[in-house]
Amino acid sequence: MSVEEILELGPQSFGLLTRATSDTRATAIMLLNAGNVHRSGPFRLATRLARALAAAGYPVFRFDLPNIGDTLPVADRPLTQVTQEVLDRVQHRTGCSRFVVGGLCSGADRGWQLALKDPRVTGVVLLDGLARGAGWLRLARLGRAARKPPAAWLGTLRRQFGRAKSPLRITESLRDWPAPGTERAQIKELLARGTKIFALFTGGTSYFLHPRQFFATFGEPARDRAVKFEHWPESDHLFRSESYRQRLIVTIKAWVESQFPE
Amino acid sequence: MSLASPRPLMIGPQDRRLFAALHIPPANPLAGVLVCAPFFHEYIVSYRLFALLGAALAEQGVAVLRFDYYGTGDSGGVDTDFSLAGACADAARALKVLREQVERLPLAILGVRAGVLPAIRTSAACDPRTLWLWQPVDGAEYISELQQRDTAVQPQSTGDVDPAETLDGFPCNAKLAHELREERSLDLARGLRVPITLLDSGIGVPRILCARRINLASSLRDWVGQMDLQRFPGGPVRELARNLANLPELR
Repeated sequence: MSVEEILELGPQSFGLLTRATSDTRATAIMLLNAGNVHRSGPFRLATRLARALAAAGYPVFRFDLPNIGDTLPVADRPLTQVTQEVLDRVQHRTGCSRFVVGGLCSGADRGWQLALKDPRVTGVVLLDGLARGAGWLRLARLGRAARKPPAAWLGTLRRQFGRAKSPLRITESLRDWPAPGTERAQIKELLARGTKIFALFTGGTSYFLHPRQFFATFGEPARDRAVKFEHWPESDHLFRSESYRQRLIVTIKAWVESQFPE
Repeated sequence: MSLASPRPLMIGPQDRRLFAALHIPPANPLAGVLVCAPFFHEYIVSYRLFALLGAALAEQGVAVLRFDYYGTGDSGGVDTDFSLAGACADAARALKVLREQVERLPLAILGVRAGVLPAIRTSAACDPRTLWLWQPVDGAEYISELQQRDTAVQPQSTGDVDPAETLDGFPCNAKLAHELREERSLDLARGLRVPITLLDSGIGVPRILCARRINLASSLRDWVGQMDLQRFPGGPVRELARNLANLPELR
């Protein structure tokens, strides 16, 4: 049985620490909000993932960032600073000085930023995180269109080569991604520091349709042994399907156990 | 001025721990409200709305307790532990915790969507001062809505899980759909002695005996049936909290 305890983060914020239920390991996990979904995650994914990891010996912390869920005030300082302060608090409570951080969608983006900023982060979980590779995206969209009836082809070609903004441009404008091109230097920096990276993309976004986009985004470092990449084109973005949710929990738990055995 | 965050609590025995969030008024409370949340994905999409409403009611002097049913959200248990009977027992337990906070002051129970089912049953057993029903659904109608949504957004499956064992994307025990379908809580509501306030759009409102009806602003009601989360503007939430806090049953 998982043991969750409330950890106050100040007068306006708190989180839930799922204590390890077997021998506690030296690495703690911090799961970040998926978009505006509160800390239990879409379809309770974060609660279940936290309990599965805790059963494997990892303390797991979940909380709501400012302006999400139960944290009612808006942020009065940069979110990276907020998340670093939360790491301090979790470190103080658990004694763990190494962290795996991340989440789904904006949770992946914030995990990436935190990893770059804080050397305590030794692992990042990116679910539908940063990706570019416009050429491969276009190719995948054309491939999809080719499977449609010929009557639909003209419309698709117009959208592909017309003036409409591509899904990638729209996503870039909505997400908190680094300036295009800087991610290659960033991944090199993380790998040089020994950070392990787990990146999984579903088929539920409009901006990631071809697995080669991942390698086009991060270049050669994406093939490093410390990087694990998965593409589940048949899963939706929120893991609404219970079978994919179960598979995700098993996959992340196996990755964490293999990369952070201590 | 921004609204204040709630105080988190863990309530109930170790083998049935429930997460709860208590919104405490800045001065001595005038009344208390227990929120029975909607179920499944509606719980997720409306979570922020009821956190805001709880804080706005606290601003008006009303203590508010929100909680997650066993097997949902941050409460203990696995998804398949969630049951209607369990939700009713959890609501009664949470009401007891709220009662300790507000002692002899008037109490209201707010049931949201399918959360009206435990709210009505708890009202029948615990006799609050008033019952508020927010966009209520009856069991059979609700199951039909969920099944339509499941059909409309059914994603691919790895084949490891039988889709019949899920409702609105959540794993559920085999009895739950049947239990919900058979529930006739709105009939039961007709037999209650407590005054009922209906919060709804005024369109397609079930014919239940209500002391009054409050029409909800579209920004407060349009989350129903949505997959994606929306932002809830503070203005209408605060206005609704003022209206609710000033209802005669709470004075």
